[in-house]
Amino acid sequence: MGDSLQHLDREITHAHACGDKRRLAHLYAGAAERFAAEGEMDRAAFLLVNAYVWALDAGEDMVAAQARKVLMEMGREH
Amino acid sequence: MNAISSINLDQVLRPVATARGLPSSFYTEAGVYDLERRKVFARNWACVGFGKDVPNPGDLRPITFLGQPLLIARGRDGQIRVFENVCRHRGAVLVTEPVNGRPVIRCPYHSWCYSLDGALVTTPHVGGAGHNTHPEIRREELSLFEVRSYVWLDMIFVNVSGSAPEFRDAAADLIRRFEEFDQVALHHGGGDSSFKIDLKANWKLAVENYAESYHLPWIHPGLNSYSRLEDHYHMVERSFCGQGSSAYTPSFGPNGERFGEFAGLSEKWRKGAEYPCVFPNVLVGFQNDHIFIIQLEPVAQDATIEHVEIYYADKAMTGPSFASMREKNANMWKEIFVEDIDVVERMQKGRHAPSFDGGKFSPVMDGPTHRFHEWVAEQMMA
Ligand code: FES
Ligand SMILES: [Fe+2]
Repeated sequence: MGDSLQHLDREITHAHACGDKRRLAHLYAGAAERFAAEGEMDRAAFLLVNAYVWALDAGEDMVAAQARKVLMEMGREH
Repeated sequence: MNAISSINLDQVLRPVATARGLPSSFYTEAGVYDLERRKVFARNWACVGFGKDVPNPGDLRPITFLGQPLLIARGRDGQIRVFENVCRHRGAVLVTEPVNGRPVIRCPYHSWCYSLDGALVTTPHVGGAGHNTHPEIRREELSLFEVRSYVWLDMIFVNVSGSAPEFRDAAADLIRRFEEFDQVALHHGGGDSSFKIDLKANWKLAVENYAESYHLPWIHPGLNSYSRLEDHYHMVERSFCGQGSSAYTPSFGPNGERFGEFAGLSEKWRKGAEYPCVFPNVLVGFQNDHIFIIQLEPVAQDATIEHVEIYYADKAMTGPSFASMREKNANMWKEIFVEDIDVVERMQKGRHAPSFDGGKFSPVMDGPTHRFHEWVAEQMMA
């Protein structure tokens, strides 16, 4: 996972630099999924919160709704 | 009263024939200007912008009013709301540039997100990393602070003190007089129908000059031909004052070209036009084919920005085929407003003459000016 994680980091940094909120929403959501699959739930939740915020801000309603749903199931969002 | 406690405003409140104008300090002193911001601008309904600048849901426009950061927002429901432009978390200003079509208002600092109607939607990591909730963070108590607002004829009015009567009561006489224009759609002319004028004078002098027709023959000789002094009358009302003309017959081309007229106007407006000063800071021109609105933005006791916006009766008038007529119209008004700058700035400078006592009104020609002074004095004494 190491190399591809580094790649993801770079992509996220780049999206931040461009202010590409839509991309950030998708990248963070993807990253969250990967950590969730590894059972790293705290890390996954952290990333999913970021995905949720960027999705809200980008008007990516589907991503936002999905992130919120998962966070609620984890007891981390109202 | 502090800054004005020593000033006797009784003489301002006398009938026009024996009254004096407001004291010079009302135009020159920062202390009085400061008090005026609180007593005149904060406690009443003041115009802070135009609906046309936030045409679509999610359009946000930050402004500063009385030194306060405010945010004009068009909601998903199409409603315009005005908020204090400040995050409920650590007090960062939320929006610093006009933006369009935003789904939410996200604070850039820690990303608390608010909906367009001001509700706090999410509070990321507020309960620790990956936790958006905490028992002490009750979102329903942390909405954006909403400022009372009301939109009339595309003008966005706010009452920041929250203590004024409802807009429709406070401006009942105004709304009644111009209710025909309340029924029609206004179409802003676009870029060529929007301009600003900088005035090195107190905002009140712009109102006072606009309110009277006494100066027309001398300052606007061009109007003598089609808008003569004898065709003008004055309006002296509770929430506004100004002048009207019974000879509005414009033409914007060699063959008598005209803009389309507002539908359903009564006979009065066939040749009638009226120019009310809406207290405190709006000057409006009502004609049967277009309306202009001047929002006065006070910047200091001796500096004002006039924001001029022109609206037409018909969507077709805002298209390219009417561009040259619109430009002609805008230039005509600009010329008239610019003609006023010199005398208005002279009045500002004149108020540094130590013996000036507020001046002597013409009981016949200065009624509207006197009414405005009386209104300001009432607000300052309240
Ligand atoms: S100041 Fe706005 S989220 Fe912290
Ligand atoms: Fe004038």
